[in-house]
Amino acid sequence: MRGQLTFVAVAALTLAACGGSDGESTDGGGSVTVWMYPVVPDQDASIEFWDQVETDFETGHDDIDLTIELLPWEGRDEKIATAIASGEGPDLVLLTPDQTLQYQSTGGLKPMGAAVEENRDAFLPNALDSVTFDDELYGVPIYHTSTTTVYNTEVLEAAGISEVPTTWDDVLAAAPKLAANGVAAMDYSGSPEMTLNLSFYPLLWQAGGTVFTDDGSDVAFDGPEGHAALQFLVDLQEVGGLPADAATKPNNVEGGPLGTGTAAMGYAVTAPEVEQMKAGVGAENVVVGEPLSGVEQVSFGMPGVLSLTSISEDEQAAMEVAAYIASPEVATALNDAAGTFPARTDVEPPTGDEMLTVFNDALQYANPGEVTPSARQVMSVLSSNIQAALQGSKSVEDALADAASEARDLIARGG
Amino acid sequence: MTVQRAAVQRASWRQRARDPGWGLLFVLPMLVLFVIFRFVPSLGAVGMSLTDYRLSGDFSFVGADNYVRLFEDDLFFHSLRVTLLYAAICVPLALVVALGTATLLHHVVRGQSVFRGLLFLPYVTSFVMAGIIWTWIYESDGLINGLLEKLGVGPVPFLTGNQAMVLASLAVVSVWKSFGYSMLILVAGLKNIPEDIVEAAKLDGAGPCSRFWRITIPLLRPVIFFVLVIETIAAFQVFDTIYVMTGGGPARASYGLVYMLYDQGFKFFDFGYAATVGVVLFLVVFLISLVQRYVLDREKT
Amino acid sequence: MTATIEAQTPPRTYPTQAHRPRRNRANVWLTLLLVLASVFTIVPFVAVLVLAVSPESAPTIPRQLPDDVTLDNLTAVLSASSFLRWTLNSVLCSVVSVVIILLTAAMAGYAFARKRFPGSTALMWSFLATLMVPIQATLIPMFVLVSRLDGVNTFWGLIVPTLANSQAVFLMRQFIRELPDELFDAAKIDGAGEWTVFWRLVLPLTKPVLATLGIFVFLWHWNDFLWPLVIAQTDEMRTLTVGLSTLNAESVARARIMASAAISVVPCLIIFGVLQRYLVNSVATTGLKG
Repeated sequence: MRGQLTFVAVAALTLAACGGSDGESTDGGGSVTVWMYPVVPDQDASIEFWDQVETDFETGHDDIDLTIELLPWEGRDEKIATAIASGEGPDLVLLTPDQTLQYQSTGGLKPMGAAVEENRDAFLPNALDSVTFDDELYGVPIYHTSTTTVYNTEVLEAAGISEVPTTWDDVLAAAPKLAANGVAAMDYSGSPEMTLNLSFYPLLWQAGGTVFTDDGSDVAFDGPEGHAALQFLVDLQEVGGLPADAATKPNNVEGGPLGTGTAAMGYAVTAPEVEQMKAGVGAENVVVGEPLSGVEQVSFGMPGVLSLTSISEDEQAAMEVAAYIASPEVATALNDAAGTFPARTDVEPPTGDEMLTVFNDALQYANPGEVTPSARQVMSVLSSNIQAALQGSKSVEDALADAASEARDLIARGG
Repeated sequence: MTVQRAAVQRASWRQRARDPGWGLLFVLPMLVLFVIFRFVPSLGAVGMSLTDYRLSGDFSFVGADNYVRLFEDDLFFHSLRVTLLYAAICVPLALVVALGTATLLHHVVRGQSVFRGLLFLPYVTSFVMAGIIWTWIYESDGLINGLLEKLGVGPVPFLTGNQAMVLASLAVVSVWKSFGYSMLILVAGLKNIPEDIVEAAKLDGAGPCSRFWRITIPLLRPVIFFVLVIETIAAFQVFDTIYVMTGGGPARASYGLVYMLYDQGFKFFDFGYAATVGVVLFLVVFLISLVQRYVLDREKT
Repeated sequence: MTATIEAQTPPRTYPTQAHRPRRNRANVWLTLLLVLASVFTIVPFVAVLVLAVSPESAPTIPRQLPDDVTLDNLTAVLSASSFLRWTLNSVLCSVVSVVIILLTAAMAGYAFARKRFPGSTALMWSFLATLMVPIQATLIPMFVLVSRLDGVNTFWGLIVPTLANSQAVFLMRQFIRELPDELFDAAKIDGAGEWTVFWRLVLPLTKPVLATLGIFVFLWHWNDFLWPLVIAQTDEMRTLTVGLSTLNAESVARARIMASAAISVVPCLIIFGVLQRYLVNSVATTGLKG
């Protein structure tokens, strides 16, 4: 029996070695591979959408063979790293501005200013700036995310608060009343895997501060604004205004405080998350508002960009593909399907739900994040210190001071 | 008689002369696989640790710079401490649980296969799934704390408390997920203990405990050594559960060595430095297993 | 004198039979402990199942079975267009791996256990040493190597690099070492050739270990995520674990994840169920130790 098994195994292996699709190779002109992610939430809709994009593009450019591969979010960094390191991978890949800088600084990307030459002005200036390094453009924005505040009107009314809190003072005033009903005023997620762009940094920006100095050579979060922001959180926590496990919780809405009615508001919430909240507490109890104000009114919103990898062999064709996907027609369709927002001014914002208009208006307050070479490491350091502050094991001063000194070491070392 | 013995001796002599050739032949397939797909990449990693390797492929040789930097890095020593503490909790726990359940299985006749199946079930999950499930169980209003609340006991901060609590909670998850492996191996080992030795001991009047410590355990020594080495390696390489459950926190309480490796390599793209962490991790584990070998795997007399 | 190898193999005994006389008291306690242990391992699984059939908006802490049990999550996962292909890939990969690894590891384990050749100890330890290098450190060198060999996005690239399995070799070596010398001497007397000794003496004697190892190798390959992720460049080459993760949008409902988990667990349970009974047939070596 074993003999037979061995034979089968050898046969299978021989067949297997010959078989298996080779995938789209990027050698030879006119063949472009794009790595796309589930921006369109539903998988079937996603496949359908990008298939359509492929077909439409090839109709207009019959000398270019386009393949759009849909990849999982999970393991994203490992996959891109191995691809670039080995030279086998896509021509274009969807990245965030922060990823764009990381890959560019390690030599993984090529400039692609030519893709937007004709209509550079049509794009949101912030969006282009966030992926411009050394005066070269390294990504073409194909959509923009927007976050803003969301409120649970039911629990607010139950606590006798008739107007939604729009400033820090409002939130602090509302907190005790809500806490008396067992509701946290504001949701906050301190999990280390969570990006600070959606938790601490908006508060820092609202306090009028920045993470880095203008030239990125030093950190600035340990200034008075940073203290104000962290102090705001700590004060809020003291009066029961944050979820009990704020220091460690992840930011899931569904099943989390916002989705189960135990938090009255969130301040950096995306449109799909608002939908989840509606499903959880009832659409009639959910209201979307303008971004929160501290000293300034700021929220987070960043472009998704298509970047050209250094292993791409047919740059010209790749840039045509990028320009096409970023074009108004495709962008509009993408925003419809994915619930994202336009990265260009000549694209109509999605209509339909009144909430989408609010999100679109919030774009003007959107900070796309501060992208510097050491941004990720600094975020990691700051995140764990903020956790310590929220857990009470460090004071606000110590947490920020420790984080700043570690961050300065990082920057000195070259990031 | 003598003729037979002589024949055996001659056969053995011929055997010994043939041994090297056949030995190498039998090892060959695995050896080829290992050389190509394990040794070469490992050497590649060592090589990377001596450079400032960048994704684009260009790098410059920096000698021992990465190592010097590592030994001046507080974060490295922190993560080393975390890993050692975690292993100190996890490995004994794993061994005790695996040995305990294996012994139970060995002695219970009825429904043995059912129990074996049930106990093995967690091994079938992935670390990520186990992490997600147990995060829910540990939550401040999760399964355990929900039950405790009914008993009037306050919520226990499994994943959010002090370092010992967090690491112990994580260790429980690892053991839950992977003890089935060691358990099955120990079961197979227990089955191979010759029945007549046990019978002889019983006839001598040895009670169950005495039989266990003085016959079972010594005869299981090679198997226990194997299990110990594997569990130690697994404990030192823990990553997926931590990634899913605590993200290395809170405040880096569970920031182990592989986590640091991952961060340095795939988040900050400093692959040379990441490889350095990998090499040092390897050396630490290697040393520990040499000690284990000395204690447990001496050649049979 | 002319006894065949099979006749030399001692009769099967069932060690547990000897315990029958003292069954009652002790066994009740032991059974109770086993039940307790089983509950401990089962409860999280029940949670997975409950969540898998919960509607998406259910609170993530289910206190009891939700009123509106739904198969939506499960069907959503199963109806993914490439589900069948991913499953076939996983099956192919795991089964081929099991066959090849069992054979080559048994051969290598036998060599390390019973053959003396120069450098065998050092080699054994270097095999084991590769276990100690975390995969995150060797991922890039390994991928670059496979890529140079044109193995990216191929079946051989998916399977072959994962075949070098130290645990399998080590396990076989430990067990074969325990086999009594007399068996092998007797075989030599009978003039059995090297391969015959391996094929008809060692392999049958190590059946329980082989069955155990088979289960593990299958599981390791079935649940592997990182390597299948980086080696597959197109959807057709993905294994089930990787494919299922492509269904997860950025903020995916926990119920959906649990449904994926429940589904991908099923084949592993089947394999374990099938191979489990081979673990029962042990070959005790009574009667030969003098």
